[in-house]
Amino acid sequence: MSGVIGQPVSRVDGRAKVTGSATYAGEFHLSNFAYAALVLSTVPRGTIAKIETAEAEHAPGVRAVITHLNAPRLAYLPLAERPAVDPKSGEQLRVFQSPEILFSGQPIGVVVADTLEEAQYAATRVRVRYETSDAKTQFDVGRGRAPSDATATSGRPGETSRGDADRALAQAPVTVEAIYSHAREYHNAMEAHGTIAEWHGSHLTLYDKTQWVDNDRKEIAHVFGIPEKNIRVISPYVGGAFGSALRTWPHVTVAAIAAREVGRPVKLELSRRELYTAIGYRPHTEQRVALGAEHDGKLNALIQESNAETSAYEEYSEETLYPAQIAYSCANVRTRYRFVDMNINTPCPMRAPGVSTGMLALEGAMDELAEALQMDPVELRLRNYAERDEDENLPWSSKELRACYRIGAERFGWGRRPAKPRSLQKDGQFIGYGIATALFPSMLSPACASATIFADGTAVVRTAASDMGPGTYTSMTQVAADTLGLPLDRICFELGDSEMPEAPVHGGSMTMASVGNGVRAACEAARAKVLARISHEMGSWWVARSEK
Amino acid sequence: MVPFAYLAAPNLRSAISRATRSSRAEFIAGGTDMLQLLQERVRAPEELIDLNGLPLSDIEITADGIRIGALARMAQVVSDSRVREQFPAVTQALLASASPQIRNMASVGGNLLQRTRCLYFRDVATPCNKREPGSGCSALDGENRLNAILGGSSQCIAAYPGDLAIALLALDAKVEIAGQSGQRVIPLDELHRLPDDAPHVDTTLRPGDIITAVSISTSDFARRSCFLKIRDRASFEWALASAAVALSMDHGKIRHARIAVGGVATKPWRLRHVEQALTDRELHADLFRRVAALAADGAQPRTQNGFKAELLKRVVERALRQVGETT
Repeated sequence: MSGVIGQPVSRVDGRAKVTGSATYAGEFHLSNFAYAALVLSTVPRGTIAKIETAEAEHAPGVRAVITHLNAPRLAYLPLAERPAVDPKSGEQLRVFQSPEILFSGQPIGVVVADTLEEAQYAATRVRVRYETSDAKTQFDVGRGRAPSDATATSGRPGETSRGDADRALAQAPVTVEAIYSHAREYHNAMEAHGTIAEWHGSHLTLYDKTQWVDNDRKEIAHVFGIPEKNIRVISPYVGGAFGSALRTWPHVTVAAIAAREVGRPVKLELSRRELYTAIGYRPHTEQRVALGAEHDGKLNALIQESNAETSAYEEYSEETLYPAQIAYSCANVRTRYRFVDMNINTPCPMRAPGVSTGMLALEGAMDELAEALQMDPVELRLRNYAERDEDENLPWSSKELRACYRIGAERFGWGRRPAKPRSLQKDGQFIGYGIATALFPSMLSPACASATIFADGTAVVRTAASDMGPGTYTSMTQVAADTLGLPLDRICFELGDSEMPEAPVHGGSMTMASVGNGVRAACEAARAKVLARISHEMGSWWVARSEK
Repeated sequence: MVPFAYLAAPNLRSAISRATRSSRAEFIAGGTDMLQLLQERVRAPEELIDLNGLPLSDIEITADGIRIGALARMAQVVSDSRVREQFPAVTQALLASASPQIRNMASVGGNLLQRTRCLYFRDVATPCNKREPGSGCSALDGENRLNAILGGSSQCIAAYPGDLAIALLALDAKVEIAGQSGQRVIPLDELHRLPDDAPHVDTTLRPGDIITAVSISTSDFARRSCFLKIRDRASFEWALASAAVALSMDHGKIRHARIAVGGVATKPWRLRHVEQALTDRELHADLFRRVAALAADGAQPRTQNGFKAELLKRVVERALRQVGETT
């Protein structure tokens, strides 16, 4: 134990990142590269009536133009159990398997050429005629529908209830009700998504931007119907993700199809524009919150209903209504979740998916209630403090929210704030004081790691984890150094390769707690082995010496 | 990107004659807008004529003011102390433009000619009369929050995006042009045109014309000028509304006022009626509020850009106050 855990050390990967020597997925260079450019649908719904590729095929440098007409029929085997990052209902987009168009921006073809410019140019020469049909492109909550069974049984039911929230609301002396609309949010991480695919016979290597190399391997194995062991996924650096690289997106399959077709490694990098439809986004939601309280501020009724968009082919649901069930002490709580199907690509997790969206509406309503009660908004939250998880009826493992309120109020000078809105100005701008509670579940998952100690006093630690920016490289190096009793610069920590010991998804804020334990266990085991060897050899030496 | 031929122009004359001969040739200077247009396939010239080698980047003092070569980089003008002292609105407009990296590349002439940021102009999957004449205007009833409330037509409501032109217009700048038929000088106000029924023609430039310089005369009002820009984020963003204001004062009275606004109109836009309402008036905060209330007269907002009318009034008022305070 060197005590280096928790110390503000420099990022171990900092130099590589700022000097450009860190190699991101799209930056690997393989010999004999070919480059891919996508052809995207320009209508939101319909079928491809005709697709003309002759001009593209004859454009300079073009090696292949692949559409639903000539693409290989892929297996798309169902997964025995869907990973946490995939929607539980519906089917993932099957690239180039049919002429059906489900959203505008859907990949309907790929051009592979000797240079990127040739591929991009030729992609513009593919002419498509559509038979369009009526598309759902307006977010209309009137079309809201309940979740399917597969979603409901996976823990995202359409309805939850404790007590009788509607009756309690009707009887409450003070009530507020409001609609909260939350626009779609796109990821746009600094590193655009991209994939390099290379086949060696029946073996596929993918260099991909992903927060989960193990799952990438599993998904592509099922798409192509090949054994997982035939696939290797490499992703040593992730330039920002926040959930966008959790799933295996359709372009990964496109890269693999293209590489197999031309028999060369293929690089497919998505443009900023393509990212809007090639990966997911935080969905548009419209939520209704109704609160009922006593005059003293005690909550009696809490109703929160969420309408969220999803695609026409998958049901992407979020934990939007989780905060309503646990954030405050309230005997009568009811929630309702509805989907609005749209001809768009499927949404995906983004930064506290669902929880932050639900919290936004709930906390907005709590402020409205404080106003209606003429009560300090911090006081209102303290008065409804949840001493236990009333949904599960279990004690919290830990909860320091009361201290957060107190310390936050002190530091912000909450007590000195003018209660009346819009009463404080500085340099012609209004200054406001506000409060909101935020919560997020604390999750853990099994993780594996390997540790190798060398005779020169260095160690290599590996796990198939990821580092999208929070500092996995550094924190795991600290854990290893601490456990092995070695200086930081004697540890080489590696991640992001499916050949390494299995790690859970790099999401849900659980990497430190999960992978950290794996690294610690591996280092403890390696250390014990070394010590055992030393004591054995020391013992032999001692015995030999005393026998002399 | 569609393949094109590239030619580095050896001199002004050959650049002009080359571009006059080919209708599919275009000029490139700093390239900060042209590269985007090429990459997004908004433009697909057969030939790009590179002007960067031409000797047009000097900033010179003239008998009555300053002459800025069309190839002077925006950053070069920003750092010029003569411009900063004599024409503060110009420096402020440049500093409010784009990012330092882009200002290092972008030329003054090219900046004046940058194309609109209308979402549909830049999205080749949608109809746009400016990009593809006769295809229709998607913005009229579409996502038009960024579009113009002044100077639009039934064909186009794309806003002129630049900042520099707004400052130059307020300072009565002139544009020097070299073309097939020789040199000419026009007021900046006559460089850009209204969309009317030919929105694909942004300017009055003729085929082969090249802007060679911009000149501004020194004056009382130019020295007392400012540029104010309101945008969705604090940097690297186009204006929702901007105003360049210049006042000439005489014993606490406004002699002349110049007001040009951006982000709200289809071309750089002078508010002459507001200028007149300020002429020969005592400097007064209340006066600024009253005349600024006229700023959006004649505005024709669409579904999403109505907020620009109120924003414009406030931007003009604030810019007037800012200049008023410096007197």
